[in-house]
Order: sequence, then C-alpha cells, then structure tokens
Amino acid sequence: MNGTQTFTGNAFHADYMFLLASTESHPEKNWGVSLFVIDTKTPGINLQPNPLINGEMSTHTSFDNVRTPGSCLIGVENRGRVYTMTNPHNAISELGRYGAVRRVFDDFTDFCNDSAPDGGQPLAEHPLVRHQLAQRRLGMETWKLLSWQGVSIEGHLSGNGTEVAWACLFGSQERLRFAEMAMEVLGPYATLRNGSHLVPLLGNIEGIHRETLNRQSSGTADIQRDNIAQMGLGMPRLSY
Amino acid sequence: MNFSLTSGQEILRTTAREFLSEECPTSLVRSAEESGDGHVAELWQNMARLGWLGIAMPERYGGAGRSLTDQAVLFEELGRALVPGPMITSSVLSAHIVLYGGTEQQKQNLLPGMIQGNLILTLARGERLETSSQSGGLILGGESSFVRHAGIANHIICATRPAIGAWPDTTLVLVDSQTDGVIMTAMESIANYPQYTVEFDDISLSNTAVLGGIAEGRVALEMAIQQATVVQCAETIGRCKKVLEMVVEYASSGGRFGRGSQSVQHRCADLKMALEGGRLLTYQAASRLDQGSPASEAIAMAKAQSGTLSRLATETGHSIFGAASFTVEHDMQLYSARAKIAEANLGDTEYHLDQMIAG
Repeated sequence: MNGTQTFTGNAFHADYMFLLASTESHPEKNWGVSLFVIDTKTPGINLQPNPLINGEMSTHTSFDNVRTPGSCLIGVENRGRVYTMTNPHNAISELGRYGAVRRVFDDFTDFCNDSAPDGGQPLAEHPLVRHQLAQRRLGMETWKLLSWQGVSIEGHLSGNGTEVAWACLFGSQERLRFAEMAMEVLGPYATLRNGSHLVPLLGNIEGIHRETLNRQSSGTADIQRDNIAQMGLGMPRLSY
Repeated sequence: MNFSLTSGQEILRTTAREFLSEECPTSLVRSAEESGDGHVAELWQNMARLGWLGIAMPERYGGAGRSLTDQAVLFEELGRALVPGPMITSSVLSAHIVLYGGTEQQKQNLLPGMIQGNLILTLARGERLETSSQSGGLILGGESSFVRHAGIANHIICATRPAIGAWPDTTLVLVDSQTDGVIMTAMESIANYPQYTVEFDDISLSNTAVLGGIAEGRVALEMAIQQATVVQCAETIGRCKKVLEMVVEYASSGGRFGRGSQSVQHRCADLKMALEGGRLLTYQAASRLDQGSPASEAIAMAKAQSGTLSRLATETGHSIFGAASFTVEHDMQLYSARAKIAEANLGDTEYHLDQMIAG
C-alpha cells in the first residue's frame, strides 16, 4: 500500500486501523475501494501529528510500501464503500454530540437560574434570556428526537440514508445557535478557557465555540443538504 | 423514539389521501373561500360517513375510539388537502370540551349529532364574557372575538368568567346560536377565514345550559385545548409537506431552474429537516397524551416549532415559485394564507415558548 491520508482520528492510541484503499480504477470517485484492517505498527506506516482546534489530536498518515497479508481484507474486494456507508455509526455519533452539548446547555440553564451578576434578578428572569433559553430548549429537544430517530432507522437498516443527515445538519446548526446565545448572555466571559480564574461553566462555552467549527466529521452542512435534496427528495444530481 | 406509522395508520393515511384527492381539489378549497362560510356541506357529510368527525371520540357516542396519534395522521392529510370546514373547531376542540366537561346527558345530546355531521359547535372565550346568576338560571353578557365558524355553528360554547362576587372559576355555558340577543359580526380575515365577533346581550339561560357544573369548566377547557393544539400541529405538518412536494417537483422538472440549482435544493433540504423535527415533536406530544403522561411541555414545544415551520414553508414556497406564486391563480397562496390562520390558532410561537418556561 502506498499513499497518504489526513484526519486519521485517534491513530496514536489505536492498535489497529480500518483502511479504505483504492484497489481498482473506477470512473466514479469513491468506488473501487476495499476495506482493510491493519496493524498500526506495520513497517512503512508513518504518523505525523495534526492537532485540531478542539484539542483532539489527529494525524497525517503516510503509507510507504506497506505490505499486509490478504487476510486483512474485510469482506469482498472493491466493496469497501458499501460497508462503511451502511454502518450504523453516524447516528450514534450524532447522539454523542447531542449528549455532550445538552449537558453544557443544562449547566448553562442552571447557571442562568442561579446567577444574578448585577445583584438583582437571576439571569433567567430577564425576559430576553428566558425567551432565548426556551428557544434553545426547543432546539435541543428537536435535535434529540432527530438523533434518536436516526439511530432507530439506521438500526433497522430502513429509510433512504438521509435520516441521519437531518440530525447532523440540525445538530451542527443548533450547537452553534446555543454557543452564540450563551455568548450573548455571558459577554466576554464566554471567551475564557477552562483554568482561567474567572471562567464560568468550566470553559465549556468557549469549548463549544471551537467545537462548532468542526464541520467535517459527518460532512459539512452543504454536503448534508446535497444528500437530503438528492438522495432524500429525489432532486437531480448536480455536477459542480 | 420510532414514530413510524402502524399498518392501521398507513391504511388511514392512504384512504384519506385517495378520498381527498378526489373530493377536495383546490377548486373546492377556492369555492369554500369565496362562499364566505368556509364550509362545504357535502364534503362534511362524506367525512362524517367515513367516521372522521368522531375518529378519537368514544364508541359509545358513535365515535371510532381511536387514539390522538391516529387523529394526527388523519389531520396531516386534511392539512395537505387544505380541507375547509370546522374540523378542528367543532370536531376536535368543542367535542373534547363536551366530552371532558359535559354531564352524561349533555354528551348523549350533543356528541352523536356532532359525529354524524348534524351539529356544529364552536368556542367563544375571552376576558369580556361574563355569567352571573339570577333566579332559576344565569345571565350571559359580553362579547368574544375570533370565534371560528360561528356563522354555521348550531351552538356556541362560552368559556365565561364570573361576574364579581359570583363563583371562583371558569364556567362553560352552551348557547343556541339562534337565541335572541346573540349578535354576530364577521371579521374580515385572511383567506376569507370565517371568524366572528359574537356579542351576547344579557341572555337569560336556564341552569341546564351550564356544561358540567358552575365554575368547573377550566380543566375540561384546558384538556380539550391540548388535544386541539396537537391536531393543529399535525394539520400544519401536512400542509407544509405538500408545499415541499410542490416545490421539489417544480424545481426538479426543468423550467426556471434548468437542470437543477444547488441553492434551491438546499432550501428544500432545510424545509425537509424542519418538517422532520416538527413531525417528531408533534407525534411525541400526541403519544404522551395517548399514554396519559405529562404533556404540557411537549405540546408547547410542538406548537412553538409549528409556527416557525409554517413561516419557513411559506418563505421557501414563494421564493422558489417566484412571481407566479404572487398571483391568486397559483395554489401556493392558498397554503401561505392558511399558514397564518394555523399559526395564530391556539397560541403562536411566542406564546408557547412562554408556556415552555412557565411549565
């Protein structure tokens, strides 16, 4: 195997990696690839750190004449894309993203109920804050339902494959709306990182601001919209 | 969290869609709008024969005894076809008020007739409706606005507050709409929607006009409003689904957008996503009510989202159809006008966001 790959998640911790590699020239991008599972310590594999802005460590991975036995092939040759596209992973991941943000939202709601920075009413009694909290609570509930529906449909291998895209698209927007709303309430305190002596909420609002910039892990919003329109609604495929 | 339809619900949906595509074309919607009373008697009788007017009413009164979730499935189809008439006002809201608040005798007097399509009821409420007692009965005075379908209603349920010093809480009274002293003024409304200001000129009523008991109306009223709110959300889902179908077809079939436009596709994708969110919120609320679980917050969330969904469908539809949809001839305007009626009915987005916090 020869080539390079960027964004190999958790590669420094992994004993094995799944690898999608081109095994046949194919007119359509993404097809003609096979799925392998290989030892990350195989000679010829080189991991270069590629730190991400949310604090996670990804890698640039290069493969230089890596030799691996044929038994590492998963399933049938050239069918790799089919296996990865039908694995019930995206919906579970989206539920994970929801859970992480929901916890911060609940903490933020408690914070608004308990804090009265100007010495008067708690933040949550302020009509504008109340209104925004209600809107975001509605958003969180919608995100939750869409994510669970995605898990349910993926688990049954029913649907047309775009149900998860609804959840991912909604979630990527909702967590940004929440982070922006929290910043409107917290002002400059929302820029403080965990460890700063005046930081509210363990710096999680600052953290979500960076996390919301992670748009690639399940496809950017525009790719999700393409999928919903073309695979879900049957609109024409466009060539860009 | 799987809200896929049961086979019984699938059958209901298919039956309803087939029936309405035959019996309720947009030409009928337009003629009902022009007639001013927003009602088509023949369609109403046909829906009664199909059992739709009492779909969630108990069988002992002639209903079909089905769940609110089933009723929501039906209302998605009614919304999709823009069915005119007092379905939500009479068959859902008023029927549930009678069911939850009426005496056994009142239920037997009213519900079978409503379910068979022979009786239409509406609800009048507001701060300015007052009842006070007099010897052997009550006096009803005051006025109420936005009384839907009052022009064709046989009876008006009045949710009244007590005159000072009388009893402590809401009293529901049933008034024959032909009674002397009931004065109706049509409120000119979007889509010619039939809503009225109704004035009650100190009408004398016997004690049997009280639904249930004096000062016992609040719970029945609130429970019925919950049911009707969920149904209104389902109606909105159906209406917005149809808008999405219309724009997808238009934008995919050549014409103004040639072989397709990414910006148009993305608008459609956003509407689809909002629709799915709305559908899940609505059926979550319905299933909570069906199970007898606390549902206030779920209902408030569904109705709050329903308003923004309606607005998004309207904006998406008119922007994709362009100038043509600004003409009376184009069907899109039928959908956007009714979206406003649905949005305002039973509390808008802001009202329900407030309810969420209060709850």
